[in-house]
Amino acid sequence: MAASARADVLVDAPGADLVRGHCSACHSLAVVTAQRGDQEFWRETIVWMQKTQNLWAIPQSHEQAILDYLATHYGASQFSRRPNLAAELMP
Amino acid sequence: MPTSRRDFLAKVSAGAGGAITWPATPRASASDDSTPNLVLDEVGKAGLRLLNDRPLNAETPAHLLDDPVTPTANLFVRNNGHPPIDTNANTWRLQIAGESCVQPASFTIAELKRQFATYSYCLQLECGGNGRAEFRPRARGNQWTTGAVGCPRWTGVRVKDVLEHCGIRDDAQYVAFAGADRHLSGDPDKAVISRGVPMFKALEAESLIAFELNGEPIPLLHGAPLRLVCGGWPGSVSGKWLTHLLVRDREHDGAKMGGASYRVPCEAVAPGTPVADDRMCIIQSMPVKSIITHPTSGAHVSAGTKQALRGHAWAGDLRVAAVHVSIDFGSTWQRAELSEPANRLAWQRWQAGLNLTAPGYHELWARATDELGRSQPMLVPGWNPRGYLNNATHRVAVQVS
Repeated sequence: MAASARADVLVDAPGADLVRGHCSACHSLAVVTAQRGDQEFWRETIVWMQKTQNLWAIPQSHEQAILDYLATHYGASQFSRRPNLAAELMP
Repeated sequence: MPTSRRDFLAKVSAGAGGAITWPATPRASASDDSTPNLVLDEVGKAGLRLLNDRPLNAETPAHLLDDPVTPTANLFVRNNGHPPIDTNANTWRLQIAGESCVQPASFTIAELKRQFATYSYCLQLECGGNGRAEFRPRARGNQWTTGAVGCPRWTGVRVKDVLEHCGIRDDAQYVAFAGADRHLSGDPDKAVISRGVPMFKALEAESLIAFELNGEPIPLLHGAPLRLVCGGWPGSVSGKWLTHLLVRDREHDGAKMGGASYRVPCEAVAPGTPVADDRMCIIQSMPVKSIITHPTSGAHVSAGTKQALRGHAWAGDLRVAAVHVSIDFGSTWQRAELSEPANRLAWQRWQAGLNLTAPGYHELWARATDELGRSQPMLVPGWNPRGYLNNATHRVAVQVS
């Protein structure tokens, strides 16, 4: 993921304009760029905001482009103070 | 279906009197080309690390928490919405109401000061999500590292005294707050946050309706002109811009009380496991934790001289019993000197002298143990969907030469 000097500036890639348009009316983009997650994480976040924080309905084509963008450029990361146990060691 | 803020307050405030005026439109945000430093300079928080300017959230670098009592300029900033526009201390009113309030009443700040004794306590506030940044998978929310904590001095009247004056029914369960902060969406009917605590916590001697921070009227960002302070619990129970205290006959159900807000799985789950809302349990007393405030991480120190290591430790409603420090990644531990808290629910200062004889890169670790024998984990503790309660040990790096 390309580094960005400021937390409120999105990675410059297709889909960034849609994120800017739908996602900065109430809060700054720094809220967005601080998070990391897969498509499901970002979709759930959109649904939560629609249900509880007055976010409007997003046209389906926009929403898919937004999810693709965010999962690509702000996708889930694993590096940590110490990684979780390997999958085969989990219950 | 959530009730609108107006309807909810009207229902539980019946008879309290006094109209509530909500500001109509949010004020314009900081201009888009402000740098983070300018934003923090404007609000007197120059040394903090900005997480977000809208809403405004900023945490304190560890070395700026070195004072026994956190100066206002160094106290972290947490906003769920926007502060109110009108915070005039002369006209502000606090309504006491709720199903289990015998005689609802309304007070100005001057009336509170006249009718009730004033107390000052050093009370430690920590955001429930302090440390969230370390969880994997990542949790949604402010990615605090170690700086959403502070212990300033608060002055106010006791919640207990005001509520007992109004009369508390036998069926009282919870004390909840409502505040005048404004929702990010601009909807005047939407509460930003309205949380509460069980009766036992509200009625503690240290639970305050505060009007001063470090001897001065509370500034805008910290809840001017009146706020609730309940030390040792997640900061979100200490409601700012306080307009209502409601004595409820049930667990409070206001904004950011339910769902997964300030809750962790009742039964521990593996990292990344989805958890249904009805399997989430509310956070109360915060777990044992500590911070190293000196030296600043990244410092270069000389071999052979005794190196001072110090900071603070806390354990929610409990006392810290011991702090141990390590310079060899936890292989060996040395007990630090631990001070008494200024009062119950204040953090405790600790210090140690280290012999850093070997040159090179060192990590200095600190681990606190509470009065029930529970210590901080070395790793990130139990994962939870919203990334609360990371009380893993703090560490700073120094280069010895």
